[in-house]
Amino acid sequence: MRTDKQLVDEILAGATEKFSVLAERYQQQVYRFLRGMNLDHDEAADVLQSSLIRAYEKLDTIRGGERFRVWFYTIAANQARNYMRRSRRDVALDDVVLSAEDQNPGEALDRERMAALVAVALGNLSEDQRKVVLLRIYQEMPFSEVAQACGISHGNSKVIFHRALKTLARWLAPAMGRMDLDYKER
Amino acid sequence: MRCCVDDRVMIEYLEGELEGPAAAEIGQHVASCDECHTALLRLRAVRAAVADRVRDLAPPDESFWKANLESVARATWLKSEPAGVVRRGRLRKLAPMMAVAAVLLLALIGALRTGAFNPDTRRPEVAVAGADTVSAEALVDSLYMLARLAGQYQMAWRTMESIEEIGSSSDSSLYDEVEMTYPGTGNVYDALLTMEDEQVEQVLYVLASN
Repeated sequence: MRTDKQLVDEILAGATEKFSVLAERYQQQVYRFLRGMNLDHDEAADVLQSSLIRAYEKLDTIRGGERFRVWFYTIAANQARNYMRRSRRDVALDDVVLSAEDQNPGEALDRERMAALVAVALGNLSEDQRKVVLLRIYQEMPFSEVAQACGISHGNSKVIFHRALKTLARWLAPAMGRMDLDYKER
Repeated sequence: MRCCVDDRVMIEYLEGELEGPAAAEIGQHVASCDECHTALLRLRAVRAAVADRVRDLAPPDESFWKANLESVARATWLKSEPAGVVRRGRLRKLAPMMAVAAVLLLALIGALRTGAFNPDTRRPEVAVAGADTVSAEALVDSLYMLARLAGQYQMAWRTMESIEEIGSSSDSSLYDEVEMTYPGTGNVYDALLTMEDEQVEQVLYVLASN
């Protein structure tokens, strides 16, 4: 299998049709990243498409050795930010938290309600925090790559992540207090 | 979260960012301190819930991904080249070159399907090579078959590029020679010459995606 770097080199050497291979390789994970940024399906599909087109147009700006994956996430994150700025939506965290607090004490919050709560909590993080959290937790990027994708320093990516995780823990506390603390990622 | 291990250190421990001795120290403490143990479990649960939230999103079906790739192809490499591309010229603008390349490919399809590479397997000649007229669909189908049968898309692509080189050379007799090596395909050649750009692009797309 061709590496990303080989494919990029081949595209820039004229085999432009190989961009489809790169697009196919990353379209699904970037789509999920965009959904995690609280875009609905149609919005994520639009932003994914504009990100791929942007990546193609700017392919020659990848610096030597830079990994396509991280670079592409940078583009997707920027496109998502531009999109959200154009269509600002407020998410009612309080409503969902209150809804979670209605749950009977001692009763584990069901997975569906927990997912809804997490979605709203993620939506209430700052955009930088949300980006860092998703890249780190869902995409499992090391902090060095998270920093590169977000255009921030390595240390700053850690600070933002720490603050975001603490914030999420605080917001989700009412639900977490009753949910099984052995809850494990599937 | 109030416990004896600082939040920041706890998160670094959770994220595997602490080095050996420091990680071991926190690990031992967490194992013996209920408060810190609970705090760690809570952070881990938050982390897991975030990961699940993204994974649990219903994925679009296959047709969505295929349509997306096609849309992106139409908006990118089928339409223009990105900045910084180094090549002699656009293949899609070289309809005559494409035609010669396609003739060669069709010859290869014929050879494959008539069993030229396998004397034990005699197959009927490829219909498209002897047809009076060739539709774009038939050509696409034939090229697709070529990719499947030979399993060597790279070879096919290199053939096209070598044809491009022949076409770009000033020695036009080479061009004529290529045409003459496969007599009786003038109708195919003519049909290819009349293909719209979009049809030629479709051929390229099928080749690239197989």
